[in-house]
Amino acid sequence: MNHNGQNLVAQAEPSKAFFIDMLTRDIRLSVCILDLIDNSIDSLIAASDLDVSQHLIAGTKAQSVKAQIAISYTPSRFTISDNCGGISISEAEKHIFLLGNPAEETSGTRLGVYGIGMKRAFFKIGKSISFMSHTKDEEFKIDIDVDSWKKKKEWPFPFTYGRPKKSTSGGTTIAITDLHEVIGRQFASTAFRTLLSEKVSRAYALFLKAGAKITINGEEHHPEFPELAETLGLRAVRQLVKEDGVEVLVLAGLSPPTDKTPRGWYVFCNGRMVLDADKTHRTGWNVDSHPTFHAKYNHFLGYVYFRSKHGHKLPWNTTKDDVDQESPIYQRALAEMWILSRPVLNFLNDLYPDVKEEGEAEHVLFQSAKGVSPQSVARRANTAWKANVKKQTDDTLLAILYKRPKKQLESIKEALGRPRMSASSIGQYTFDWFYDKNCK
Amino acid sequence: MATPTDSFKQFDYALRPSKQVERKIIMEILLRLPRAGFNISEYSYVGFGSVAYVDFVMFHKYLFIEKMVCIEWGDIEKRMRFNKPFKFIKLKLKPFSQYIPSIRRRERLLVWLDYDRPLDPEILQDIDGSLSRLCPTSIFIVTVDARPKLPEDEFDLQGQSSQQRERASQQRERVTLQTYRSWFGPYSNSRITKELVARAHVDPLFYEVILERIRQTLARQNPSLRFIQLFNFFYRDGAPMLTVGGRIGTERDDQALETRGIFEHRFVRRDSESLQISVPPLTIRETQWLNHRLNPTLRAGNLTFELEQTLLDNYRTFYRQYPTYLEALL
Repeated sequence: MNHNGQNLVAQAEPSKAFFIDMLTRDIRLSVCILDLIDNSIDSLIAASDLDVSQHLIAGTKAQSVKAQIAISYTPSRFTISDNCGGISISEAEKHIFLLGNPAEETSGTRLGVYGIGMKRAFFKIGKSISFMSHTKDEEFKIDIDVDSWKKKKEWPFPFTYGRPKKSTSGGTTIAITDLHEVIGRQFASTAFRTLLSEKVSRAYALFLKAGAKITINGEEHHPEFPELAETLGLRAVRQLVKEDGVEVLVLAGLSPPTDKTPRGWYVFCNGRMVLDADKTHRTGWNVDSHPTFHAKYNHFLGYVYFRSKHGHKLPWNTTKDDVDQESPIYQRALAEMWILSRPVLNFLNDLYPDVKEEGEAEHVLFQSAKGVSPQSVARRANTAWKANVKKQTDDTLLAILYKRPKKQLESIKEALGRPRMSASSIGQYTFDWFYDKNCK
Repeated sequence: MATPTDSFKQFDYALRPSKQVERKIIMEILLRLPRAGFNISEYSYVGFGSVAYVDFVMFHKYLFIEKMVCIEWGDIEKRMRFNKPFKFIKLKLKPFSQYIPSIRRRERLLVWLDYDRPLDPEILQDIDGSLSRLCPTSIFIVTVDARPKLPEDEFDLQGQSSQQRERASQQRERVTLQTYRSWFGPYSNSRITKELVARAHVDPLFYEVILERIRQTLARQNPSLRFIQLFNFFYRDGAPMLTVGGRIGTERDDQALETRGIFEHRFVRRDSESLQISVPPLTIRETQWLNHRLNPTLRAGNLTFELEQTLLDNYRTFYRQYPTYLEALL
């Protein structure tokens, strides 16, 4: 050791415990399972050049893919199996199992960027992992016993086997047993099943639409896209922005009157949803001078699709259930989202004014709107928000609705000598009487 | 309250002489920009015209701007169309917030958001939205009423007892304080106090908030962008008004403007110290007399008519921009 400070080094090696016990605390189980689905989708993208965002932006129909991803779980076992093309031995040797992607580069519009999701999911779920994959030409298997791997000094996972084998298609199967107790309990819960199902239907909606099938315990999931409301005179906004190798497509408008779910912003990166109906500061609500999400904005519906072949430029975080709010492209998109959504929010402010009848014309327009898919709005050229509200004139008829005790109505009928008069006729009569007496 | 004998000290508000002086000062400074390579006549103007379209006429005639967009959202569609002075002015009958998405990023714009109400979150969103779209080299100006007044704060206190008026006034100050803290607190370095909102005008607060909003928006777009402030004017044609404006650019642009002497114009204001625009009401004969004899040594005591020294000083400052109004029988 040199006490002058020369040749001294501070140890900075990672520890396995960090990956196994600590990194897994930052992620929920449902999000982990989506990471494993991402892994399958990535194989599909690599095998078929599928680019769902590109088709959405270009307004073309994505090629139909025939891929199946089957998830099944019990309180003691979890498996995910796909026929998405599989992983080659070479890829498994060099990339797939690395903890972290040193290249920071991806090819195609893939979902794997950081090189941590799949491994973190293994460690989160259980202690015994069996990873089998085959391409059309070869197959391999890696078995991981987490406890014994943790004790070893070496980092690599040895192959159980890796050999040539001809096959008509490729696929991957991951089986995890010796589940952590808390995970087993969640797998037994109906609430977890519902949550996972909803997430899958929305997060992979574009892939499901392109033909990918995802089943959970045998149940197939269908794409779920909240629809935008449109009619003659009411049109959602569509704007495509391109910056620094990233395309950002923003759609904003209203959800249909029949849709009673409070909406917000839905944010996607390369076709994969990262924010679901967001109403928080993440999408700018209650930030700077933007309003706080309020019940009157329940019908606000916005979609933001980021697309790039350079995955690290996209604003997703490592768990892909949040955005990197500091990323320049997200900041840029956020500004655009609020420029485009302001007229929509102003319409909603007018729809629910303090004095109800002032929003009558907006209500007429809104109630006549029907749902259209976000894809059909995305297909258009850039369009501005349109809400042709028929302005009220002096002759516009407005409804008056109020309630009074029956006893008082009876007294009026008696005073008028008309016992069979209806409540609404009394309302009209008394209104006209006041108007004639005071306003003419 | 003005006594009857004070009326000679006041202009007809409709004439808005200080506003007119402000327009002329802005034009003078903008006409210097070509020295630094920015030809103002190649800019497009976006503003709020109102039926008089005064800015539009002046900017076309004296800045030679030929592309103009007028935004108007009042219920005066026919009047706006009828009064449009030039065919090339594009009239957009919608709120400015709806116009922002159509601002093209590459177009050099001169934007003047000339509000007649005090600063509020809607205005801050307009500033944020438009600056998110404006390209470097564009010029951005915003004018607001400098009084601490909330939108719902329009109730009439006349006719109530003095006690009721006092209570209502205290209540108004309390609500204004709470609201301003929530609206502007994040933009202000100092705490917004009760004493501050009790003042007749809060232009230093509004200036700070506007500047900070601009700074944040530009930094988000590109950390090298800055707001090269040129205007910070305070005037009163009735309501006290604050105008803040400048050019979007980089440090290099800032240096270019400095090198070319743009900042040397005596009405350029680069910091929080505002130019107080105040002009005395004078007859045409008085202005002609003064113009003929105006020099730095002329004192109020030497005049052949009564005029306070401060008003004479104000006139000396703004005599070139001083508007002359005559009734024209057309």
